[in-house]
Amino acid sequence: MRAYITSIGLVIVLLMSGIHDVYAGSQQHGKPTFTPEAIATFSKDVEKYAASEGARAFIIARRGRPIEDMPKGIRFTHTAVAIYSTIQLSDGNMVKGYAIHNLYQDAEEQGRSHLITDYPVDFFWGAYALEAGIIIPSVEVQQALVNLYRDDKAKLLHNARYSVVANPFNSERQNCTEYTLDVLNAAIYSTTDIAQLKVNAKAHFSPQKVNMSRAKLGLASMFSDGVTLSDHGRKVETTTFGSLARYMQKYDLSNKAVTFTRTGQIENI
Amino acid sequence: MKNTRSTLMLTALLSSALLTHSAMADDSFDHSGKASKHSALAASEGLATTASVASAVVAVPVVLTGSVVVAGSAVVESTVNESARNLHRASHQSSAAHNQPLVITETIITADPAPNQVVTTKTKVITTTTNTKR
Repeated sequence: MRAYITSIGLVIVLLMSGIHDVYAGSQQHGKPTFTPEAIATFSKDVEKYAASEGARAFIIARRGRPIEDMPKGIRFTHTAVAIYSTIQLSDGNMVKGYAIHNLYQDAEEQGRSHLITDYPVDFFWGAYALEAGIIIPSVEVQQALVNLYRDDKAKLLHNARYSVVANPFNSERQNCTEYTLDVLNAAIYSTTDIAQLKVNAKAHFSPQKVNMSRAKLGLASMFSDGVTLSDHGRKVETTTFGSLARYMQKYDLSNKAVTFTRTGQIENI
Repeated sequence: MKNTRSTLMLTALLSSALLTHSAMADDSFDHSGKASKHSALAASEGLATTASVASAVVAVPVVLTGSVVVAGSAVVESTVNESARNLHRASHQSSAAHNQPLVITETIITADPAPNQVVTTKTKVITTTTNTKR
């Protein structure tokens, strides 16, 4: 009886802390882990690295959680597309830098997402580690990506129904990395026909298996609208920065795929 | 005894589910709307003396056409008006070969906070000012 009461108490405490985690997500992520100077310097270093490689478009990723908390095989938690742009500042000046085109999960309504353009310092503001994932596409793919954004067509690929483990082979749900895959394939195949892009992804893209039991994921989905398995069959697989890098390497779509750290250390993926 | 074992198993299952949720929670949240970020960056003493902080109004992709770089005309048209047209004019470059290093500003650029945050902040300022006058 005593064990029974203790267990129930523990469950309640865990439930409360779990629910707190869910609702505290946006606030926690809003607080920078590093000093503003460190984030600004790192962000500028990432920009300068990409610029030194002549990248007019590249895929960028950040890590928002400790690596030990991540499922095996997943290193980065958010991925987007950076486009070399002319940026008009609020003082009227024109400067050159990278604008980052993101799909962001809604902090309040976690089963929804929005497209938001921000800049490197915004991108890394709440990162857990000052470490960037960078994939520099081939020149042809860069040009196709730039043209897609020039023509304002990337927004046509957005599906506002969000799931952190979205299945990349259908259009039921989408996460930031699946959106990046869709944008990439739209640029490569010169089409925004979602059905065609999903067929192409199924034929050529190998997603990351989510190394967690279906039972655990199913229970997790009970506590957040941002996690669902409704778009999956037997296997749970999703798009990750790593699987994007492998896809691009396999089909010669990239010039470089690296991790870039605060100390300037660059490692090939 | 059987009940105790079942309860402990249930506890373990729920605990792992909660931890799973925490681990799987994406960090794909938007950090650009944090009003405090602008002031935190502006007040930073550790930034290089050449660095300044500025908000972006609009960004237009620099488009490669052969070896020549021009601003993206379609976006210019869709992103509105005069500021974008100025941007278009400013974006012309005579030559920029593929894979050549690109120029990057030293300015720390941030997106502005979301409109609702700006409106809230302004409302607070007005309220405070009004109270002070009283």
